[in-house]
Amino acid sequence: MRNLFLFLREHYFYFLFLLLETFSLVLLVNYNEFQGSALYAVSNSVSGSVNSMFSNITEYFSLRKKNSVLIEEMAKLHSRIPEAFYTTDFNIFYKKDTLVKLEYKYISAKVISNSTNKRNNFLMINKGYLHGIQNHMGVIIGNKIVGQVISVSSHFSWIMSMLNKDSKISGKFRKNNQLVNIEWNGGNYRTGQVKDIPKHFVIMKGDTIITSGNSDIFRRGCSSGPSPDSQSRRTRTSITGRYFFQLISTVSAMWRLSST
Amino acid sequence: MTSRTVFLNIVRFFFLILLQVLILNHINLGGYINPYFYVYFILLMPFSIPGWMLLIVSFFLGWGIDIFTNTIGLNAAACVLMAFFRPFVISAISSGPNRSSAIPLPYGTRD
Repeated sequence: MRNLFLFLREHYFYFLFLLLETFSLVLLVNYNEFQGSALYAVSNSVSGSVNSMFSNITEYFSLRKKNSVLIEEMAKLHSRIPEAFYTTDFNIFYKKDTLVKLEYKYISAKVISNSTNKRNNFLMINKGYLHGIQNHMGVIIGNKIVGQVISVSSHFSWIMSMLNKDSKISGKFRKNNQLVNIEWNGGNYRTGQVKDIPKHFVIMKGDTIITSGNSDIFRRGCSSGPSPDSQSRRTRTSITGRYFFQLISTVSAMWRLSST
Repeated sequence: MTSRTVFLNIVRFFFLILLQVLILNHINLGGYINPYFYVYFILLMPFSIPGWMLLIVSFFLGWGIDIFTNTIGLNAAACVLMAFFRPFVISAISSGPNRSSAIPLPYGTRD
């Protein structure tokens, strides 16, 4: 300690000079903007180069964590690009059927999945309960039957198409209102079966079968496809005819509103 | 140092500051040449002044100029630097016996 003081005493001139000079330089840099910013720029460049050199080495140690953060952020951003969003519309059309004092609302949807080669075929449409689709709504295309809604989620719905062994649609002959059942036995996906035609009935080529309106699902008058042809099998109690299916892409779901 | 030289130096100190600030700062030769006359005071200070007094007095000289020109620390730093070099400059330009006596000696020693 004493040696320190002796050293200081011996070289006091230099130390005092250093003290006064740094003091005046501190005043200079603090209270003059030009000198202050010049010093700031110089010190920034020095510290920046040293820090960048150091971080070049140390950033290798945090690469694993950085990768996981980046992957997460990429997933988040991918779900925000416009292609990640699903656009639909909310069009609901109402039709007043004043003759029978009924109202139907129609919701248009697009078929996004279909199958025709299984025993039980289902369709999927791109509207759900957020768009107003409810269970047991009838699905038509234009004037023709497609099937019935069997389950609904927020944005999609399943439809039991006519090509399904559980599908039974009540129809009638237009010419004399004879009630029949429309089903599908499997096999040819282009044709279905019209069952429970009484034996005395005379089927001719060109007869049209329409929905009878007896069930709540389809309104009266939906066509079930082009006419059954005369190829019919006569059993003891019923005649089974054939009718033809068509390609479907855009359908409408219909729902009979309660007549109050 | 006699009191006469002390008094003379004090007077010279204030006179040079005022001369610089009031008159010489407004002289612009050629648009950007500004005479700085007060620096001469550092050289005019007595020969036998102790080193610490040299430094401190020149610091205040520069600071006094700074007050008037609103550039704090600019002239003070310059004057302190000049006062630091004064002993070496004097020893460089003087001959023989004066050379070594100009360098400041450790504190408290008298020659």
